[in-house]
Amino acid sequence: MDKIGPLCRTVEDCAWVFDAIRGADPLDLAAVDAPFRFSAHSPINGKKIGILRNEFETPSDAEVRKILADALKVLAGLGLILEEVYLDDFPYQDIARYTINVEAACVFEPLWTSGKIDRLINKQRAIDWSAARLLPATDYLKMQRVRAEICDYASRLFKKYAALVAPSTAAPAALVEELAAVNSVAAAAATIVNGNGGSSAFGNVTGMPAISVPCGFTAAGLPLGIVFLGPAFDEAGILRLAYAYEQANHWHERHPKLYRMTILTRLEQWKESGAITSMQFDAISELVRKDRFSVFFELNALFYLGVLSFVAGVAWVIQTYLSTLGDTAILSGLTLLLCLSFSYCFSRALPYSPGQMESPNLAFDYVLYLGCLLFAVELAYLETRFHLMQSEWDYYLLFSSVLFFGLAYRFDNRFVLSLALSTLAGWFGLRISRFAFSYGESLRPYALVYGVLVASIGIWLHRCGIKKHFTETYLHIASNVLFGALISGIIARESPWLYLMGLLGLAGIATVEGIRFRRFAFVAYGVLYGYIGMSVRLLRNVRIDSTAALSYLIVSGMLVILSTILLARRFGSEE
Amino acid sequence: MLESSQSARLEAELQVDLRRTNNFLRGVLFLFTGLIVAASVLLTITVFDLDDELLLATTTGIAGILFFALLECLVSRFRLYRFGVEEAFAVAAAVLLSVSGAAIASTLRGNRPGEFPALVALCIGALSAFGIYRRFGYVYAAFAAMICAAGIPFQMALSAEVQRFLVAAMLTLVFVVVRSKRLQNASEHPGDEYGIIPASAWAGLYFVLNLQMSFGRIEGWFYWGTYVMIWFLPPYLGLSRQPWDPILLGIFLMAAVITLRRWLSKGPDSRRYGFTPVRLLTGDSRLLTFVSTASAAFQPEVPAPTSAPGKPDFSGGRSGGAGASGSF
Repeated sequence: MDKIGPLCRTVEDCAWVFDAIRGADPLDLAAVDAPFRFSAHSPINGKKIGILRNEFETPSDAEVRKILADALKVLAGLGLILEEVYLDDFPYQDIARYTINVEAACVFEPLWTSGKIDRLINKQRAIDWSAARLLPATDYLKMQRVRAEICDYASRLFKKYAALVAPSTAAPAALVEELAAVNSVAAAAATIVNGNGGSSAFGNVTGMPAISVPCGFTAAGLPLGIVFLGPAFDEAGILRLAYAYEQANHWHERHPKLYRMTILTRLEQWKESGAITSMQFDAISELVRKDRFSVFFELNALFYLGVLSFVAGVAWVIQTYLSTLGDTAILSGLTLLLCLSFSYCFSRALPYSPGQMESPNLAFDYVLYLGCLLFAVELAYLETRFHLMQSEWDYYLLFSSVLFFGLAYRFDNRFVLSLALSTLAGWFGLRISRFAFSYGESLRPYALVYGVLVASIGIWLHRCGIKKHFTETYLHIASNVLFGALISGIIARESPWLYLMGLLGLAGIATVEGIRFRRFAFVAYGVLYGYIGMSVRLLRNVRIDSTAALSYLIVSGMLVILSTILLARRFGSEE
Repeated sequence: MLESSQSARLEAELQVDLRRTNNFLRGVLFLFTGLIVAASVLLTITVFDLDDELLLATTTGIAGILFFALLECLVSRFRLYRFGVEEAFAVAAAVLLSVSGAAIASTLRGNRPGEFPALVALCIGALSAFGIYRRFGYVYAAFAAMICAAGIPFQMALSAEVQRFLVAAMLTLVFVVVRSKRLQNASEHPGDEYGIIPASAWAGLYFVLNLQMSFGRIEGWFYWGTYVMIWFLPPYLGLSRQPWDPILLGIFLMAAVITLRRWLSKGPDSRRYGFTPVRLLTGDSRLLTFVSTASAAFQPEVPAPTSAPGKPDFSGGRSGGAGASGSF
């Protein structure tokens, strides 16, 4: 009893789709190849239309009734002859419902035999179809006899009228939420416009074609429609009438206001669903609306730049006015600033903790950093002027480094920790700031020792539970130094394969451990440095613009990309 | 702001069907895709021995179009979003099309002198970068478009004043248009991105009007006319430098930060006009951690090993000192 048809934006679209799907179907013996000739401009003037008056009067809502009445006026304005029709009193709704249920019970019989009927989400369907299996055959036959009478009645009716017109439903379309709240039977009952089932049941029982088109909207923006029912195989006729009606207004051009999902609306949804509390909503929405904007990083960055600029200026002044100022003034000034800085830090510091500590205030970390830099300047000045350590001058670096480590741990300051690590590198003879892979031959072993030492200290302190948040700083610096030293070894003439093995081993460790601990910077180090080292070795005696070298770069690059994509797909945007 | 259990639940609701990755792998993918693109184009040129400019232009032009098509395919079909690979294709497409345009312009120019190829390259670069920004929303493409467009007047035979005026007008237009868009999308995407572009345009405006900072030196009414557009630096840049300048700048920065922080903190709920000095997001700390680790690059200068001056060698006085010598 189901009637299959297209659901489209316009009547013309429906005609196109219908033309495509109509016709005989070897898998459906009930389908026939009837002719279909739709013409949007064929004349309709003077055609007689039956208005199912009962159904137009059933809606209790005055707004709905007005919309439907207006629709009839539009139809009259198209030159159609409207006549009121009252359908004969047949049990349209009962016949339609039970016949459909019996059909469904038949089609879905495997659900009973397999016991899966209980798994239907819509329990009402399961009940209806189960009940339909118990319907006596005599009752079913009686229904079909009445149905034949109805079809005969419909044939007579459509000899008089080109189409019947009725409201699609007695009420505006329901909201999705409301439909979900009721079962299908209740929802269907809400749309029945009169006691015997109305036009929809009449159309179902007789199998006559029908088309519903929008005919207006309520003040709440919910649509209403009217349905055109036509004689058997006259789809083209009712499409033509529906098209004429559609063109006489613009209801079909209106569409629901597109729901724009914004951050704030999503937050509101979460609040309403209880996913976040009202306080959380307030705090987050404040940030989204920019009602609260943190300048924490900007202030810190400016303070850091201020300290660097100040120390650079101090060093420049000393260098320029060395002879004018004199040792006493310079050393007194530096010592005074140094003492002020450190005394400020010691007086304001919170008690030591092996865990992460918040700074007492914004300036605290930078005053400490300033003190450390001034200390370095003062030592440099002392050595330059008085040559206290002479050839042993590099012990200043070791001493400074130890002091900076102590201060970094005491005051939980990562800037000072970085200073300590770079100063220690200086003691090893390395300059971290110099972007060059070619460490001198004599320095390479020191660079390797430094890298291993720094990494070991970082890991050991992490295992001891001391300032675990410092570990990454150690590992970043150690990784870059080690990779740089190994690459410089590959470039060098002596035992490059040994360095290459070491580099690949380290790259492997960085990649695997980076993935393991979700620290993708180390994965990037492993891939990049490993590739650079290997390529440097393999392309050693090949011109970079040669076919071989370029082919190598393409193929090897693709391999790297493929493996990185696999990684990226596995971890998504996880940082 | 959220409990970890909440965070996991909400994150699950925010899953989209885009392929994304973290910034580190994105960087790796970008670099290697760029490497492959460059190697592929160079290989084509090498294999087919394309030393003719027109052939070179055709090759790079076709390659640019091809990479743009690949970019489109990767984004629309494979749903890549800030994945590195497609971004490298975007950059490659813009660069190759510019190179192609420059090569064609060079052949058309013949032996005539002038900046025609550079002009064409910048025009194509600006257009293609802008197109990429409009289509894919890469903010750096908008920067590139601005920079290329800003370079165009400098390739034309115009007076320096007119060149700078044109660039300033263009940047002002960008500022006004994008800022109005930003106001329309204040709290929603891409509001923040719209915030970056006018800020860059403003910085560019400062640069191009501040004749002391940019290349060339022009004096006269135009220079003084730009004075109203600029703040602290131009008068300073006109003065002679002093060694204590960095000290003053440092003190100024530190004092400004402390004053600003105190002023903001004393506002209701530790904020004024919406600005707060308090850290709100973990991301701010991560950024600071990155800066502090990178600060290891600022290794303090150490005194070079110097040998102590030897004892003065007076070699024995001959003209006084009662015969005093060095040993004395």
